Amino acid sequence: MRYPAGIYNINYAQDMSIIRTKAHWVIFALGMIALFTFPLYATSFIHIINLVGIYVISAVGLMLLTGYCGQISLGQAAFMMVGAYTGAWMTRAGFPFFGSLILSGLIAGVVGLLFGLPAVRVKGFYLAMSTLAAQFIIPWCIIEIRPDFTGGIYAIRVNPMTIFGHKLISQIEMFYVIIPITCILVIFAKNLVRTQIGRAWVAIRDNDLAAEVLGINIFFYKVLAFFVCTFFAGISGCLWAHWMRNVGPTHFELVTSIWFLGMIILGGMGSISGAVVGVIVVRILDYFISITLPPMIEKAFPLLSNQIVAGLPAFVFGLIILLFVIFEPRGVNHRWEIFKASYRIWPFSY
Amino acid sequence: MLVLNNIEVTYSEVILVLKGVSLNVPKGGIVAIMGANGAGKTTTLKAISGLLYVEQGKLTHGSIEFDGTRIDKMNPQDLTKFGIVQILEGRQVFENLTAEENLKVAGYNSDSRNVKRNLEMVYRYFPRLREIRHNISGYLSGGEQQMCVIGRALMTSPKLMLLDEPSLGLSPLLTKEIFEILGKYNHEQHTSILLVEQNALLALKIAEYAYVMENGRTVMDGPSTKLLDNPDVREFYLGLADIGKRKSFRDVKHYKRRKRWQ
Amino acid sequence: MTASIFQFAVSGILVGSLYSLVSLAIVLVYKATHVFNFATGSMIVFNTFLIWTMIGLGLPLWLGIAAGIACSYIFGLLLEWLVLRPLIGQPLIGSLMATLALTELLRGLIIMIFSAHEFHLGFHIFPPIVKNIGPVVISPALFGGFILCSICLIALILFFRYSPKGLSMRATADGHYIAQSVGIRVSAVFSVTWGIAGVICAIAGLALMDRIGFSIVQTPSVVIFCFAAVLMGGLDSVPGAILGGIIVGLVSSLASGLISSQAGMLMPYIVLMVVILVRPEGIWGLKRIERI
Repeated sequence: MRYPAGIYNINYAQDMSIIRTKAHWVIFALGMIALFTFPLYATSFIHIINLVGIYVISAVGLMLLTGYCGQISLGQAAFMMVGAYTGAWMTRAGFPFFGSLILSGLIAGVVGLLFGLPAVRVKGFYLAMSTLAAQFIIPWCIIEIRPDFTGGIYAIRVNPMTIFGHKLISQIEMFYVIIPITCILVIFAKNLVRTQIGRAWVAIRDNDLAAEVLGINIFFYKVLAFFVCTFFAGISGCLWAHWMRNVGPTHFELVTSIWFLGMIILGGMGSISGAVVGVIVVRILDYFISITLPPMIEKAFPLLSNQIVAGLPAFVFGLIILLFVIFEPRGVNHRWEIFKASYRIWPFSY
Repeated sequence: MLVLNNIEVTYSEVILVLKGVSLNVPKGGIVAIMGANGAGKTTTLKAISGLLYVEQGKLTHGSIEFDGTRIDKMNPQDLTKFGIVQILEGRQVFENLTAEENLKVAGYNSDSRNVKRNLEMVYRYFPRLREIRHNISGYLSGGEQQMCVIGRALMTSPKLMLLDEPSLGLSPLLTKEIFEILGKYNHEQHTSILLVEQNALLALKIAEYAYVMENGRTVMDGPSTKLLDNPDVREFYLGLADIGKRKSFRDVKHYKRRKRWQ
Repeated sequence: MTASIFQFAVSGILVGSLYSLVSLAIVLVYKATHVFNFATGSMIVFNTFLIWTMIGLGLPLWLGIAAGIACSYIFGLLLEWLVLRPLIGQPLIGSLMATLALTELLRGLIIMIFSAHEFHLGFHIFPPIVKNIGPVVISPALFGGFILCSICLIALILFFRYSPKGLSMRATADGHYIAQSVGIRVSAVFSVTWGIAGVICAIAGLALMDRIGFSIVQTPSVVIFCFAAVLMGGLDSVPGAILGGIIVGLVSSLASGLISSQAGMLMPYIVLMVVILVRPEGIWGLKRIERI
């Protein structure tokens, strides 16, 4: 990372720090204040921000698994589903909300761990196929096994979040639960990649045979990456279920998993901020396509408008991901880094 | 026939491997390139046959001419049809195809009108191939694979063959046999051969002219008889100190003896 | 009871021929370009729509089908040129995401142009020649589809074995650079491979179109059977793909008949997981020896 002139790292802590200079601290503080006072000035967008926060948690988890550890997962939506259903049942049974939240994360983590076990024998593409199988086996289990309990293919209602007996109904109240959890988990992830675990993951991503030869237990770290990723997915799913107030199998299909992969590629693989950026960009895109475009299309093509509106999100999303993969596979984050580098050294570098 | 004019080759835009190499292959002649590992011999061959891009290599300076036409911008497939074929290092056969299919596929894609005739010619030069022609080439022995690879190149009716370490991993007897066949082919068909070979003695025996490369430059060249007598070449590449005498280990002090071209 | 096992087994094998054909398309593309074509499902639907449109234009049936197949070939070439050519040399996730993105793109495109409804031809292409083999009842569409796919498979196998172009394609699969050094135009091989994949998808769609109708919602789920078959047989093995398709068809049919239809739907995923855990390179695939 390029620091302004005069800033040097003279000890390890400085070199590893996420926030280095006073200017960074100021920006961070201002950003946090802006974030937490969001409801004051952007009330109409709160529900979008909530959804972004929920998706960011899941995307960050996927970034840890795919961007840092290099294991492609096509089953992120299925693991979110595990967390969502677990959370829904727990709160229906009367458990406290935060307890169910942690428990959904843990159970999703264990399920993810099971589907990550093939990592001991296969890698790369075959591991992706294993997660694809997970993406179908998990919903099948929920739909077919004891449909009287799970609701089968129909969505089930979810109780609202309850903190110390107080029910959280409005978006603003939920905002103050979701966003702090998101922040905590993002900071946790950012710190996780600074540790030995993060470095081991990157080593495995870049050349797992060489990593094994160096003494890194690749099986342990791969499975750990799966656990962490699906833990995040589980928490994200549980929050989503309580935000949406109902949960059903149609919300967690293969398409959603592909969207998540698209989010992290758009944002830029290999950095946590890339996941955040990716989610925001995709959400804005989705908003634009689903809300602002349809009225315009209805005016232009009155006859076919239903079809076009139905097919447009998939088409545009696929097209954008394709263009990014072909022309800028390192995502928006990379472009941003190039931009920062160019304004730093303009007109000359020190 | 083939003229390399002061070529510079760079890998990944930062690593300069060939620093101004010039060489000449006359029509119907056999020229050898000798040198230690990492001297740039394979890179020279790849520059000629157009396969540099595989390892992000580029010809950044100089020109390569074949019969007066500049060939440095041509892609490998067109070069094969033009008459230049490279036999890659390491006996790279098409593993899942039979030996005969290996030969045929080269024939169909370069000299498609003469496939049957060329096939017979290859079997005449390599009778062993006729016996094993229906075996899957991935399972052939090293020597048979090398014959298959050379035969495959012969099917393209080349005017110039680029051979990259043909003796790699082969027994001495088989190497002798293959080199004899190569010499016969060159004599009968008048195909030029540019040979990269670590086995310096063998290379100098079959070639009429040779170049010695070190660190991306040609440091010495001349008719092979002259190189065989040159004391530097004898010391560093042929392992003979004084003519014919056995070397004592006490005399192996390389710092005492510098190559005259350094 | 035995009669019904026989019934399920036979229909499973007949359906399996379809899976074999599509699996072959996946394996061909993988062998030549080392890209796993996730978009096969959407390609099947898109090419089926091409045929449907051609027939709908009023052409006589066989001409319409032929025109549709020709368009599918061109569509395959187009996909290779636009999407896969720029991605040569990029890491795995690049091509994986590209084919996944392509799936979504085609899905959206199909919904926009044709809508998400289920389409039926309205009449049957395959005449009811064979109604039953002994106690087993077969629908003419299923049998017709089986014959069509088998003819296609045999034609492809003969093409690859004996024709010069097929030989060049097999050689390219063994090594791109060696192939170039003997004069094979590798980019042409890539294009033709995708073109053939497009044609296979069209023919598969034809078989489906007659039997159960086609829609962008339902039809792509066929392709998961093919993924399981391909992995079981080995990603770079042609006989493996063919046998894998038949086995997956057989097993799923037996499961759906004897246990429940849900079990039949789950079967391919179980097979997938078992294959990945027990022998990931497939039964007939080549074990990759890796060097650091």
